[in-house]
Amino acid sequence: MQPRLLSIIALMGFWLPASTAEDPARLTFDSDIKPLMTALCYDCHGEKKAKGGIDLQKFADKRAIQRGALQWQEVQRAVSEREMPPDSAKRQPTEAERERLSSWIAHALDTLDPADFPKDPGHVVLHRLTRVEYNNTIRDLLGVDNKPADTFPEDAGGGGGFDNNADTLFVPPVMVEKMLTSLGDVLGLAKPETLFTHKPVDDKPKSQRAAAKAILSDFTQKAFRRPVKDPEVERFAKVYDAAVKKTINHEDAVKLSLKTVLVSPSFLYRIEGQRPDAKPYEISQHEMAVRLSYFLWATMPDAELFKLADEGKLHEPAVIEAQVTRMLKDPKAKSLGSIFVPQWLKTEELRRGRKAPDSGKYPAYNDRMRDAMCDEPEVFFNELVAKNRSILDLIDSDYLYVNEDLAKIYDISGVRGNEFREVKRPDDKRGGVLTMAGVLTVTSHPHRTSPVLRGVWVLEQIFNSHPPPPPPNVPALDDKKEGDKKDLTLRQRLEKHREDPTCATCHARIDPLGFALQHYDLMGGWRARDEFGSPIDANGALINGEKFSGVGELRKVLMTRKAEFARGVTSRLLSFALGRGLEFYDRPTVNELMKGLDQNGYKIQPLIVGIAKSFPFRYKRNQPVSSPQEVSQ
Amino acid sequence: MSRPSWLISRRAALRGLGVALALPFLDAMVPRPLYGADPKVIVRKGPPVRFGVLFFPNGVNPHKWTPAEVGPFTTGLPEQLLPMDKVKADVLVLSQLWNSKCNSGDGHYFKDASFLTSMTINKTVGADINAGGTSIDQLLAAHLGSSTKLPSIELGIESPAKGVDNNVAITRLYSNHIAWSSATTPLACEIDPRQAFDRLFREGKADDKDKTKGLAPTALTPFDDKSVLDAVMADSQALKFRLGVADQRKLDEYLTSVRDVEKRMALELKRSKEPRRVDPLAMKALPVLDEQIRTTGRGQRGENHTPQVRLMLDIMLLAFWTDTTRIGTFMFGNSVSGRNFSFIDGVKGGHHDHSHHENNAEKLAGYAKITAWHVEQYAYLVERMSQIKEGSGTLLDNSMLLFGSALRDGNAHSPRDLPLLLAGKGGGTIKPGRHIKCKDGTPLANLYGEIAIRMGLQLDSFADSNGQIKELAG
Repeated sequence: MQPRLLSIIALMGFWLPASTAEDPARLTFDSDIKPLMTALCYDCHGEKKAKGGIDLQKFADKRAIQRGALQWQEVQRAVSEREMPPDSAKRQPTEAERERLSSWIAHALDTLDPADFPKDPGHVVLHRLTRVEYNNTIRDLLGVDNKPADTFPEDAGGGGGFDNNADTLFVPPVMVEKMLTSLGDVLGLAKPETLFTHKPVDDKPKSQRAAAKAILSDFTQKAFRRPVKDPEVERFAKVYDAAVKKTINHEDAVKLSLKTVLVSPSFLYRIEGQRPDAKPYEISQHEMAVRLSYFLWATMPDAELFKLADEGKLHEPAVIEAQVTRMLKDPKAKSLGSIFVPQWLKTEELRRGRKAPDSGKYPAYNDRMRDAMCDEPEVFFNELVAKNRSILDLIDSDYLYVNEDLAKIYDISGVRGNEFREVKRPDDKRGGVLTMAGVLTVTSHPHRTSPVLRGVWVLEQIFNSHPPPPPPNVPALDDKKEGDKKDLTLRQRLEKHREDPTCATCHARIDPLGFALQHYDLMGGWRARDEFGSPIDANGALINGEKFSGVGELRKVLMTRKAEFARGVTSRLLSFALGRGLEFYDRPTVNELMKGLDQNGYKIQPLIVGIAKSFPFRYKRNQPVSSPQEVSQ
Repeated sequence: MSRPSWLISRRAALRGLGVALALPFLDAMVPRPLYGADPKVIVRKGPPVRFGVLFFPNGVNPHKWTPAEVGPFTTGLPEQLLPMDKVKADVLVLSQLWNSKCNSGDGHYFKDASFLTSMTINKTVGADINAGGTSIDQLLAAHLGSSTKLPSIELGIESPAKGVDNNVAITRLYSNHIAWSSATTPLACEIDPRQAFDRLFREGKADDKDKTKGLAPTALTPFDDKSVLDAVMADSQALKFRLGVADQRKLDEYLTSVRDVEKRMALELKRSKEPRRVDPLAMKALPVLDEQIRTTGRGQRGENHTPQVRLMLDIMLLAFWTDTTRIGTFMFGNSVSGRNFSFIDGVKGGHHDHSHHENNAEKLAGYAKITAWHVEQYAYLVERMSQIKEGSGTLLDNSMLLFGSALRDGNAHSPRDLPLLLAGKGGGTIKPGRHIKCKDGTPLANLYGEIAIRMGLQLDSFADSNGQIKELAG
């Protein structure tokens, strides 16, 4: 249930270089973990008493724990998030003990043998088209680009990182209403030749009916993105019949039946047929075309994908590779940048106005500036894909994409106009996503920068690792004696904060990353002093003592951990492609993709091809099928 | 989340006892089985009663909220309530109510998503979304909503937060919804005033006429759309056979909504033949609001968003006034909203940041100002509704406007002694203008029971409710 394992691992790798902190790989169950569990857990969850039916004592060694991964990932989560032991427990662990336990379990699960588990392509339910996907699909199906889904309620927010998570896409009644209204518009705007692909040979009702049926036959195949058999077409033709009976003319009756097709769940959802196989099965040719096109284009398959699916070729690895490469050249592939990137880097919060610098204090932040800030990472990513560059450019690149507004913030001269263009970076103050204005703005408070927010962003967005929540009742940053804090800089106050061992566990890892970015002001401009007037001190040290100063050296440190970064990006992109959060059984897939990245010089196109060819992308988990009687109830 | 297996069903208990006499009240029987149990619609006389909810995230400054005295407001109000001074005769301050079932989990999502359900959400990063039950507004809408064009409206002002809050490993989906039409179906807020207005008040199609070329949507009578939906239902039933059970559940969600719209269309068709009486003054107010919506910007850059909030409140007011719906919710923000409130003098920064005041005097002061701004918006709606005549009283007299947050102190995140205001007389059954201090630990759900009966729905119980709040009547 908790797709956090991969990320926890990334976290361990990055957070716990062996020199100072405990390396979970060096701990053993018998001498380090079992005594802890005996003191903390077994009283309630052991042989004598198994509260909630949970007996942890029966797992006698690491291997047993690994085989019980489903249960133990819950245990790991409960320990890490301080749910367990409960407040009422006789003994509470120290912070170090809690971390030892939680990191060891995470490590054990991370190193489990996938062969112990059946291959699982994961849980994905019917996938309602997102608002963007709906708009694009209508555009490509009918040539109408009026964005009808913009009138729908907003998508609920997603899970597993992205708003295309199938579980969290709903169809409330208001959406049905809006579909009915906006589809009327769409059909009104569509060119007649797009709709009426077959003309009746004469005015006789029989000929008109035949034409309507032929139109519907063509249209349902495209709209449902799969072959459609006659009885299904006939169901929609009945709407035509009923309309004609009500003395609606031929063309309007056709439109009404087309509208029915578009309201039907086969259009609104990406439906993958269930097969009563016991094992995961490979999805059909047309389902593969659909997965590919919604992953890379956020829209329906084009004629070529349809054709290959009809010919039964979309299961061949070479064909998939050729198609992905072709699709990435298409302008429609820009949807990767515009959908994946803002959610990954969180610039979406700026775009939608949930976050913004204080307008009184930062008048330069107008609509145009906001858009430029949000566009930059999207353009950067799309160019990275188009030019098949290395994903490591996201950490450090010697080029930037800027327009005039951004060039001003970046102190780059000679850039005029709103268009983005590639420029060489003048110095290492810029390059990669870390120093992009949008990123630096979204990781600030409205009125000041925050090393903590920026540090957490680096951990989460760059390394896909998540610091645990702060313990309750932490003495607060500002809650010291008034006298203390007046003369302290923010850095000194944060350092004081870290003197408390409870806080240090996390903040010793978060804060230095943020401090390396202190030279950037709230909107990403370079500064020599912070907002309190203190000179910038951009020195930091990792928990293993590795020192760095400023963003240039931070990037170098990050580059020595490029594998962890690559794992983070890979996991996110895979999660986006699958429309679900990742689970422990996805680990072999991620490992394989990582191997591919390493072999291909970290180039992004082979990574995307790899995802398209991967097991969870091409397979579907078997769901229990209920009997027809149950269904009809 | 699996149901605890020790819950005893009434039937099992009966069988065990072997008697069919009145059942003793067993504790183990109380939880879920009685959720919103045995609703009975009571036909009321007189003007309809409306129920509006104005929800705000992040709690309040706990030191400057509760009036020191109980009963009528004779001395000054606490700082955060001052903006409602001129309407205080119409408002009740309710203290000591709490929402017990969300007293676990994290500080925000568990609280806010259960504000109107009084249940416990399922902690998840995406799969198995579950709010524990239907929210009170939606329970009312399901039973009473057929008397108006729309059973309810859900309004908001902030775009939905996305992804997972990794700090607590919960999907942000929970932060964007207080209205749940079932435990597994959140209802999205309409955050675009234009969309909200047109849906409520415009017949046929919105602004620009160009779009109505060709087959105009107005050319499709309700009959046509009904035939579309009928056919779609038939198609969906056939489709179900091709799906596994998890997919079928998802499809059921869709079918429920289609059925809902279909039913409403049929009702509308019937109603359209009857004359509808709308206050002529309301008809005059509609084009004015329409124009205001046209000329007000979207406010998406962290600037002062008071005008946008007022538009939404005006929309709710007109929806109640024209009897287009009787149930409405409005969210001032999503859970953990960091909206910038620097446009208020003396406030520096975002809402959530201030709510973690850490007893810092400056932050507490800013926090109070942010809350006061929310109360001011509420007071605006209360005042406007009190100026509209309806029957022998006012629109406000025939309403219940609840204003509140799902936690008290944003620094402590406790759902005890919630900050709650209730305006209006609920059709003459509530005596406002007082501070009612409930017994410590009174379930918030008791208030929902009281609201429900005044709307015309009698519930045996709702969530953890355990009684009445008799003091409402005075």
